[in-house]
Amino acid sequence: MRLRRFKIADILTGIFLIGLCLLILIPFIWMLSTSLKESVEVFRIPIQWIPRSPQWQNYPRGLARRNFGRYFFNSTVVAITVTTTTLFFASLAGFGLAKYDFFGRNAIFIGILSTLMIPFQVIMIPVFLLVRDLGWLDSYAGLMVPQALTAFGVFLVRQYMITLPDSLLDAARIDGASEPGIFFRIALPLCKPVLSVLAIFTFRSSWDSLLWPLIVVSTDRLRTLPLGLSMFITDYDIEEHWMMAVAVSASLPVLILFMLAQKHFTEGIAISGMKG
Amino acid sequence: MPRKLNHNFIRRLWGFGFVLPAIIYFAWFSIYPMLNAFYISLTKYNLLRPPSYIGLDNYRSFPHDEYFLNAMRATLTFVAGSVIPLLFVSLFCAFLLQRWKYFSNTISMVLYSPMVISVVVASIVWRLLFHPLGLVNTFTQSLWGRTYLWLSDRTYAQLAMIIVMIWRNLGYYTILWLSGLKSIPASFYEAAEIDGASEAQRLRYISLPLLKPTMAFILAISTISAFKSFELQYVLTEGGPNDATNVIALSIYRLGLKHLQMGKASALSVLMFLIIMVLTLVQLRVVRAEDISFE
Repeated sequence: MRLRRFKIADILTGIFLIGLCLLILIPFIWMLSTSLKESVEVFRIPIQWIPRSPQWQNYPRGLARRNFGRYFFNSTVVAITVTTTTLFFASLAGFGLAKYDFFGRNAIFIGILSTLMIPFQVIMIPVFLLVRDLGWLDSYAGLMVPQALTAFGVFLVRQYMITLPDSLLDAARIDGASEPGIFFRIALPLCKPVLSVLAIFTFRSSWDSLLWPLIVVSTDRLRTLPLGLSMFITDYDIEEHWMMAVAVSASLPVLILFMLAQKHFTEGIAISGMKG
Repeated sequence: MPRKLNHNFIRRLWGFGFVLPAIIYFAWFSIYPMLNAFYISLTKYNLLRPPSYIGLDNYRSFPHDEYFLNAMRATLTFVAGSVIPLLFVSLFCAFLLQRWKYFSNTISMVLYSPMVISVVVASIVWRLLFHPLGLVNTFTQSLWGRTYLWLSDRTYAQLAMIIVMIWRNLGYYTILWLSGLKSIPASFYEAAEIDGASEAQRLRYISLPLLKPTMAFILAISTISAFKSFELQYVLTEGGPNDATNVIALSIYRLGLKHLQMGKASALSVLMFLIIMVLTLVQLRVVRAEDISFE
């Protein structure tokens, strides 16, 4: 009797989980299916899950509605630059904070950590004024510099570097290595695991970010992908199947990254909470 | 001896030099803007004329300001409406996933998948789903014969935001709960089983009490992320209909950068900062920085 009851519970659990998975996946399926539909099929009832003949030309046509080639280029340049600067300066600072004992080190670390409490939403207006005074409105510099380094990155690398044995660095010093040499040749290569997690995080958050580009960019030539996508919603001549084709295309780089580096994504989950 | 001292001094200087770019950067792009936000919040400033000092007037106007009260109401509805269901549904999913042996990795990846696409893309897809003739209405029509104006009715627009928020974050919090569950030593359960505890008793007296830190952590980060929400509301409804979803971050953006009321928008920013700061301090108390480990 006891055994049978457990089986029923198992079956119910299975049904619930499979149902939930389907429910979660429906928006993805719908996005993909709509992106391949003809205009007249989009709102057709009964529901058409699979388009009768896939309209692949929706992709080039949707992307041609606006300057999406340019937006792709801008997003890529910005995301790669921002990821590079974040990795470099975060590991430099993380190394200094973890392995050198200079005056005021702990105060500086706490100071940097405390900026984690300042979400960008809170300082968007003063940062806008700052970038305006620097003359960087509507420029790549204006787009990139305010996201060029994160306290989260410094914190992450510092926590990892602190576990590297000091004897390793001392051995290099005895061999005559300079301090920058130790950083580039010993500390940096050993930090690969944490740097790949940080790289994925930084790339994604830059690739996905809307708020700052929305504030700083006003000409079409500097728009990034999320900005281009969000402009769609005010275009009344954009049809849904084209919009979905563009949405799928814009998500591809991160989806590919997810498939290639799934391990780093899930590893990052446990620590990403710190980013808030 | 002086040589050694000199050596050490130079080494420390290098260490400080490594951190210096970061110090300059955060001072310039985080701390200075934050201080400036405090200052601007005490002024009247519309970009055209230099800011004029008006003391606490911006803050004093809040209790009678429709725009502000509405922003608070919209934010609190969104935060409470998404955080509480998320907390319990993700816990429920984690319990089920823990006792379910088949494909549990695949299932948690599927639950996590909405997190992979950006909020902007997710919002654009849900705009289509919530279209008056869209998939959601097709479902409700065939299930209980009613359709809804998801994005143009005040109540349903707020519900729509919450649905998208839950859809996107459910898997993430489920995984956090699961890792909390996994950290409970199996010997606890074995001991309880020997003592004849039922599954429900083991849940009630072992799992739940030991999950308290996980719960505090999830509560803190989900509340913070809901408070900061901007893109979802911006793309789905642009704060509408009739400002029903004009949450605090969106209010700051519209007030400051569209209506150029920098002073008032900064006062709102300062208020948001105080809320987030309290929540972050709670979060930091719960998760000590040193607890983070790598394999």
